[in-house]
Amino acid sequence: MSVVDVQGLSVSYGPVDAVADLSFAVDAGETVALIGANGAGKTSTINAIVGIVEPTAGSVRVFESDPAQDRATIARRWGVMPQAGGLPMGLRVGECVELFAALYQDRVDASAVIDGCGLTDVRDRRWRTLSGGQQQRLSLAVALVGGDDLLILDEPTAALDVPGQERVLAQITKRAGAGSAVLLTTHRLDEVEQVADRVVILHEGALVIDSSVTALTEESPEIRIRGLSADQASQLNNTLATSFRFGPDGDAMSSVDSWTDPQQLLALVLDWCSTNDVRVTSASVGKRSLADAYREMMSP
Amino acid sequence: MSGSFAVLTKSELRVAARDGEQLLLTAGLPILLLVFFSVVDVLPTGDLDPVEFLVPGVLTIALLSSGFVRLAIALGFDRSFGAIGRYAVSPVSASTFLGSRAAAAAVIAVVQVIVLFLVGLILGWRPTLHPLLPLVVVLALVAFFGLGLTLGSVTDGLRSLALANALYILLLLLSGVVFDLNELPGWMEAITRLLPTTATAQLLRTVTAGDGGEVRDWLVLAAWSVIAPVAAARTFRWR
Repeated sequence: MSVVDVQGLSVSYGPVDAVADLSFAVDAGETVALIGANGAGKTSTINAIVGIVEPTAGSVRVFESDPAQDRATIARRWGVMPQAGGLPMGLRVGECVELFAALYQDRVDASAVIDGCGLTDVRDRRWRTLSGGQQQRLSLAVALVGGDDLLILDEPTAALDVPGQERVLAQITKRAGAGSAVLLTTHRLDEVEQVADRVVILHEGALVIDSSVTALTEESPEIRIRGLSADQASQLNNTLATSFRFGPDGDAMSSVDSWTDPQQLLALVLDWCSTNDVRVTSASVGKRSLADAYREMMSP
Repeated sequence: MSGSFAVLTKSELRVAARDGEQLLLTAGLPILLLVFFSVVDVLPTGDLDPVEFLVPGVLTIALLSSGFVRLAIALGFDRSFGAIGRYAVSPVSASTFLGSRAAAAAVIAVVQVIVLFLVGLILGWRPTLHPLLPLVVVLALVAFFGLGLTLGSVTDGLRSLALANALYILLLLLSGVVFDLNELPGWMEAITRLLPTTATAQLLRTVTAGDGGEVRDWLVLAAWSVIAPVAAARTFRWR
């Protein structure tokens, strides 16, 4: 039985449909990333899963219970980092973590979590005086002293610098390695590739794809060419039925169907370039990045 | 007392102790009012000695400020700063959360009452305490908690701050706290008699003079002590 089971979930705010007929599940020991553009319905989905938003239709089960009805009981088994997760005014960093650890019967050593999140130096400071990144790490620390069967993180690295991101990813990996189910939302697809087993991609509240990260990346190679113009890419697409499009770095990339040998296709592309006197700087076959896969799925 | 309840109450008291401005309003202002108007005899207190009239009224102000104003503002700001959202995903139930807030406010209120009693005695107040005094304090606190939690549940941050302070001043003026109710026009007095602050002030005035108080005031205060907490329970939301 899945730890989180979302079936046909719809969430509406008045006339606005934030989530529409969404289904997916998260199993124990699995890390699932909910991704999508701003307003895609990620946070509304999370809010329905943690029971603070009632579904308009469909159902959400967490540990086989309804979080809207049994939130206080289910909450003993999860740790949650809300997107706008503040803390009680006036408390110091250490007091915040200790307060929430105590609400979970001090199951976890608060000091170890504070240290793991890189907050030892600011432990005695009031949390409101921390930088955005420090507040983000404090928010994660408070989630980590919660229940250890499920970790739900809504944009855990949004305001973090690189070392901060690495700390957060290390904590997620550690928790998942210990058998927790992890559900996170993020806009950083490189992070998803690092920590997630599966991605659930949303667009305007609806499911685009629910797939393993591997299926979208390693099992879907792409050809990458530097030095191709837009006209040349278009001609190649017409001639060889490729799907070259340009990434943010200016490289032209084409996915390769599973029934096509990527090396053979690359040879054909280079042969076409040679015949047409097109000088490319580099050409390679590699695994497709999740960002490329996402862009391809989202392109009209 | 559950572990979570004790943990939250202690944390709330810690936050309250650090909030200098709010402490000044909650604890300092009633003492200042009591000392000033006891020494400067400018209030229309009827035949009573100013201090005899003022102590019960200022006790009402103290219960209102710690029971209603502070609670409403703290809850409103906790919503604005996302703390309510954090508790919403913790194992804390709404009743434990609201109860802990009320318990912390009760501790502050009881300390205030003791301090004001002592200040009153120093200023020459000589009460004759009726056994029903604790019941007046408890009913008043329950009513004010309910009102504070209701306001804090339907507003956030700055709005709760503005509304709580506006209601505080309004109730202070209308409830016979700092002047005799007979000074009001008849129709206005009839309305203000229905306010929880008026009932509290009148009952405190009588039970500290050795009398059991009027049935009408008991009924008004008892009604508020039921209606207000029910309203709080119904309006509280985790978002």
